[in-house]
Amino acid sequence: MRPKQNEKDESQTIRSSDMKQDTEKGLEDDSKTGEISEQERQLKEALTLAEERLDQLLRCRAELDNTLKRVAREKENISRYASEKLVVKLLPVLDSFDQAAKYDPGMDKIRQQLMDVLKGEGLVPLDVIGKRFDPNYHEALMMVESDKYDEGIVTEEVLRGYSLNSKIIRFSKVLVSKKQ
Amino acid sequence: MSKIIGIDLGTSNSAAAVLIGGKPTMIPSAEGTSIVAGGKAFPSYVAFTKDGQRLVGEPARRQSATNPDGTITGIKRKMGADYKVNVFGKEYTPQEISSFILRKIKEDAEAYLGDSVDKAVITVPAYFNDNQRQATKDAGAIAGLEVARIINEPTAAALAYGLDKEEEATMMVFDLGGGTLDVTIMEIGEGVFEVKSTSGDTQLGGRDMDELLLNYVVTKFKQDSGVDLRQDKMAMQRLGEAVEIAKIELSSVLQTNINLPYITADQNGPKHMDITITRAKLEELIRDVLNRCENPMNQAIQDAKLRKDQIDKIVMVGGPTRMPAVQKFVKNFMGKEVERGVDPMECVAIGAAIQGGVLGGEVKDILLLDVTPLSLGIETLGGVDTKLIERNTTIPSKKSQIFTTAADNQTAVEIHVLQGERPMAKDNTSLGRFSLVGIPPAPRGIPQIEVAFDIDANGILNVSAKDLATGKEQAITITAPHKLSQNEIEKKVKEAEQHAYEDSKRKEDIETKNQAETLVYTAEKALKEAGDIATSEQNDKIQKAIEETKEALESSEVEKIKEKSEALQNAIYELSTAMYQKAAQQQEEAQQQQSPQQESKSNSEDEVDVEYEVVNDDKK
Repeated sequence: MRPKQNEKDESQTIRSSDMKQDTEKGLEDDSKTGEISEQERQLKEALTLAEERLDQLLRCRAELDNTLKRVAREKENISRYASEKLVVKLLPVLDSFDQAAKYDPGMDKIRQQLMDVLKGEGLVPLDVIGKRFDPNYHEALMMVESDKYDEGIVTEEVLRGYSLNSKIIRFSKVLVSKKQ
Repeated sequence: MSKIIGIDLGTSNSAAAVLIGGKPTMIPSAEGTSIVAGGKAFPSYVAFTKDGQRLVGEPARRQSATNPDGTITGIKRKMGADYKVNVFGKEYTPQEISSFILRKIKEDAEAYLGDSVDKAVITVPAYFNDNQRQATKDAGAIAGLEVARIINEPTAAALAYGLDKEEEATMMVFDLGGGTLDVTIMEIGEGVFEVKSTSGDTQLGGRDMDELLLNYVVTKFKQDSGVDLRQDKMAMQRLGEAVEIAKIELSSVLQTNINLPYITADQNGPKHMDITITRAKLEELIRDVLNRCENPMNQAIQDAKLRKDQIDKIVMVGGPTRMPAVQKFVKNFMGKEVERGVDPMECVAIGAAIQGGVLGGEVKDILLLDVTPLSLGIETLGGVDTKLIERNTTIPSKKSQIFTTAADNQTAVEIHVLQGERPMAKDNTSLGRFSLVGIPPAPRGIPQIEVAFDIDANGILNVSAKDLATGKEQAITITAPHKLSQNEIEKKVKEAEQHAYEDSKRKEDIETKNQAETLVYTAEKALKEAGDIATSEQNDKIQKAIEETKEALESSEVEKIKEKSEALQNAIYELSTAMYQKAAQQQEEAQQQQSPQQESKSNSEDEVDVEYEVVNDDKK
């Protein structure tokens, strides 16, 4: 059970009804001072509106400029990582070949063939055993006892990690040595 | 003034969005995201490493197994409570921990937008009390963000679906996340959202479903192969990833395969997994989880003192609600369809961004841009519709193009304004017509008539035609024709696609005809101008070719027209080649007679033009 919301929470008013109220209020005070003031008021209103519009226009331009810059950056990224999606999908296939290669030299050859193609695209398997654990490259599955290594060292790679053109596309899943 | 971003500060995952060009856009997380979080959110993890680093998001999650004492998750549950986190001797309040998450979002947003970000709208559960809301605001302040508003998560979701535009409605927000279910009943009226009741289950979520699917696969594999995969770490990792992908696939296809060759091995050798999972099977597996969703829905509706049928709208929030099984379950329970059109994993952040946009003055009606649903153009020679403004062009928009006359001494042009996608005018909708008169007599193709289409923000179209020589201008105003429904628009576009082949053939034929006519015209002109230069042989040849082309045009047989106009063209080329040679000859003779230093001038009068009918000077 949860506590219920009983009162109308005014902070939940979404649309600009607040802003409209303020403007209307301002108009009421001037109606008493005569026609020339009426013209002044209209002029003031028109000038304010003009300023507002100019501001909106400048904002639009600025947003457009920033968007163009961002699009240019993204375009560059797209060409750099164009094959990323496909390569990521192929990693489980590589995993299968890695295992198959243990049993069959033919499979090893195929594994190599696939790996050569992917290396050509910029794929690099991460080299992790014996290195200090780093969350920027590794994902720790659990900590284990180790005679060989000090604390905080990667002792075993459970699932291989890869980078593509310097971007990690799959983090290595590893076991990390415990404190003795 | 910078933009006000929207932040969904979740217990398990957080995300942010912002309005760009009035459109809500998710802000990507700098360190990337896992497939799980749908690519846009990041886990709400904060970690302090022993060597003094502070990590937020994915990196914090990845090291959590090595550093349980230094890793903090689910801090949202402690917001507003008198509680301190103790990490390696230092104490932090929940607000401070949350502020680290918010600070990361601030930095990501600044990197993405290329501009500073100082303000945000942050969402909280509808059941959060004042202390909890204040704590959230404080967290923002600590992170360097002025919290323009705190809004309820279900309200943000409703905003994302555009439900704030309803006059009056009652809605249920069904928020099924990784680990919790929150059901909220709300009313909207006069732009104000009011929470009527909340209910839920803190031990129910997508993770339970993942568990069930994984268990099923492991159990089935044991039955089939005799091997318990849980003893093989690597196998479980490979399987975990495959199951994740399969689950997502089953939201769009009816069945998928988990194919993992060489998944493990025993004394008999390697083992392979190849298990087919249907959507129906998945639904069966998660049946219990789904059934547990009934109580919170019933409770919330009851507490709001309503009946099921009094709920007008159903809003789905959270990754697991993308599953057809979940949607079907809720739909069947409530007896009506759920709202669609927004990603349930993004809708809270998007709603917060929309609110940020309203507060920042971005979302005023005048800035909501429309598009032309169908192409607009005018009728040109041969009954072709020459398009000036393509469909789906954002308005206001202005486009002009220069056209010309089709006949000699043509002193008036008719502008027939059309709407539609077909190439031929008669297949499209006529919006109006007018004429521009008083064009000074000239050979065809010489006058320049600038036709301009100008659509304003309200969709009102102004078409004008101006003779550039005299400055004479005519125009008409076309108010938006009856508003076409989305269905009608799609139907027309589809029609155009279906007829595309025959239409383009017909257009081609017309262009062939037009070109042939022009060719006849220029050939006759050329003959006249050539005068004596043409031998009687050439003269006869060309005359004959002209006659044959004219005949072909009468017959309207496209192949014949093509054949004859090609022959005519060749005949003309012969003549013009001869004319050039003659001219060159004459110049040489002239040069020899005069002083050698005189430069030769090229004689341009004898050029033969083969012109097209429409002069395409594209002016924006």
